[in-house]
Amino acid sequence: MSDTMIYGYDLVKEYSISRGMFKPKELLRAVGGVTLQVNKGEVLGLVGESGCGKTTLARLILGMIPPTAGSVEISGQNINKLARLERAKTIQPIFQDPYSSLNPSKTIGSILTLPLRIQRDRESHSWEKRVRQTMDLVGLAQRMYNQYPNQLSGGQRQRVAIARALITRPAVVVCDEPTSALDVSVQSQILNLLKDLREELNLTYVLISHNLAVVQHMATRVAVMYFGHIVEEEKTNILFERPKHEYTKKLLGSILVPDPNKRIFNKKQ
Amino acid sequence: MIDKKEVVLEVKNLSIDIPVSQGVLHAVENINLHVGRGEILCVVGESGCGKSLTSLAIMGLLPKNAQRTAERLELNKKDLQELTERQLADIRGNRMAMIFQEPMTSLNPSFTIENQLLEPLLRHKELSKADARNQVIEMLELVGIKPAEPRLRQYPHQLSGGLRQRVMIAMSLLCNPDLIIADEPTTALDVTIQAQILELMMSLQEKFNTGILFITHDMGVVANIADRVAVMYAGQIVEEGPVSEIFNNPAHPYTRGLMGCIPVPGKVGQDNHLGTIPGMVPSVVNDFKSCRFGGRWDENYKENFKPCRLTEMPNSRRSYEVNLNEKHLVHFCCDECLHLSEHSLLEGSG
Repeated sequence: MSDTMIYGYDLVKEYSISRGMFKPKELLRAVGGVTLQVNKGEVLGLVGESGCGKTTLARLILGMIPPTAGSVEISGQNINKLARLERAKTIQPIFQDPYSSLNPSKTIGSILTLPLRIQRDRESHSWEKRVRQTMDLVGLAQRMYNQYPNQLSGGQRQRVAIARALITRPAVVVCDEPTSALDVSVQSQILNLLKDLREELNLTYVLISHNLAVVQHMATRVAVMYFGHIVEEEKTNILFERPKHEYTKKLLGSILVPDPNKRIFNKKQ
Repeated sequence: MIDKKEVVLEVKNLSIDIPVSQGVLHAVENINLHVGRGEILCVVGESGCGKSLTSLAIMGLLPKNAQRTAERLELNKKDLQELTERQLADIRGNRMAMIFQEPMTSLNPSFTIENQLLEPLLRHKELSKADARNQVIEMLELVGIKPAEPRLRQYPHQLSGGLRQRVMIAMSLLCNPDLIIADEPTTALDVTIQAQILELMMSLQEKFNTGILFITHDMGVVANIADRVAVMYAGQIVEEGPVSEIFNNPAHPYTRGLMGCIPVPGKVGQDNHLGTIPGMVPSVVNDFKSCRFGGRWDENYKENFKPCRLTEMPNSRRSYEVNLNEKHLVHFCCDECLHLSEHSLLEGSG
């Protein structure tokens, strides 16, 4: 179980931002020296406030953007030296908004076949079968094969996004806020599905979320990011019980527990 | 304690119909709610259940094609339906104010904070500009923007999301309204900022004794701030009661399902699955031919009870309400749901 799946070493990503026509460019350090390791079968939860570099780190891990310094290895191979097709076979993303991440003019069947076509999968006769199997896997009805994204609900679209990520059988899936655009009753369905799939396909997840309850429910380990750095990283139950860093304490202190007996605000009567 | 307080907002049998190409969309159907002075009523529900339209209907800001009918729609015992657009404008922002979800789109990007905050005061109160300005500064400091003076010259884009929402709250409180309608005011904010904003809203609400109609889908927020809760499903309020009752003793199958879906910190272990509500929200276009909650009963219910088999509504406008106790009201869409749930209610209490 302790095979290293993702190893990011001293990752730095800087963006230069223009402050005006004649002013010198300024460097923005979105990720400033992050080292992280995710073992096979683990779920690493990344939490932190907006703008702290969670998504940039996810994009670095996915190899979508090259790091300014440092390197990412996925099962021992440097992600930026892998060919794009090879990379896509090992690691896949699931994005936040299922309304904008699916092409509205393509049917579900063709959206799900696209990864196979891009991979130039040899067994083209089995494409449809495999797409239909994956649809079963994520709980999409077969009749949706010929439907378009606008005919589907938000939860169903997110299932399509998950199916698309899984069709090439990757080892790692990076989920960037997979449920924050969904209603709670749909969120619970998607979280249950992600959990089942992880066991069934022995997947490794990197889960980004600002919803701490979701992270606590899903993650085996949690990394707390603050201003481009990981300030604390610990097993989930330990982190939630005994946070060490001040920022983590503040973050956990602002969780609103859905139980009226555990209010964090004191209302004077 | 709350029931003795005067009622600020009273809504009775409010319906909102929107004509669409396939017929009529009953976005909101016969809902009743009231907010007392100094009380927070949270309206929860999933997207499309009609909670935002309800708030717009109260403010008189519905889209033009939407039709609002209500038996009663009163703010401080004054009927809002009889007012002309002009009279309504005197009340909006003055006696009732609204805080929207996204502070960036609800502030005007081309005016300074000072300009936008002075407007409600100059419109509704007979104040000199200097006096109004002093009040604005005072209010900004009250919502935690200190020092306030340099902020007055800034534009919305120069402020962070949390600061913008504070400005919105300051704006809504300027005329000391009786009712504030807050439509998901913290959804776009980070958790730490969310906690700050909510705490601020609660302390100010106590200070000014304002009634708040708080619309949200976040059960965590509800549990932390609400006095009473109204749960909406497919255009109806299915359950209403004090916050402790709704969380500890939910009666309607939908409320129970919703409670089971939320990952509760510390309660849901790594190995457990979250509860789900099977099926999908029904379409609210045209009249309901069968039960709104049919087919969505959870597994445990199925074992004990038959799912609702009612195929024809006796009268779609009829309501079935059960008073669990004085304040806890459950609303069923049909005989069968009522029958089945009464069954479960008896078991739950026994």
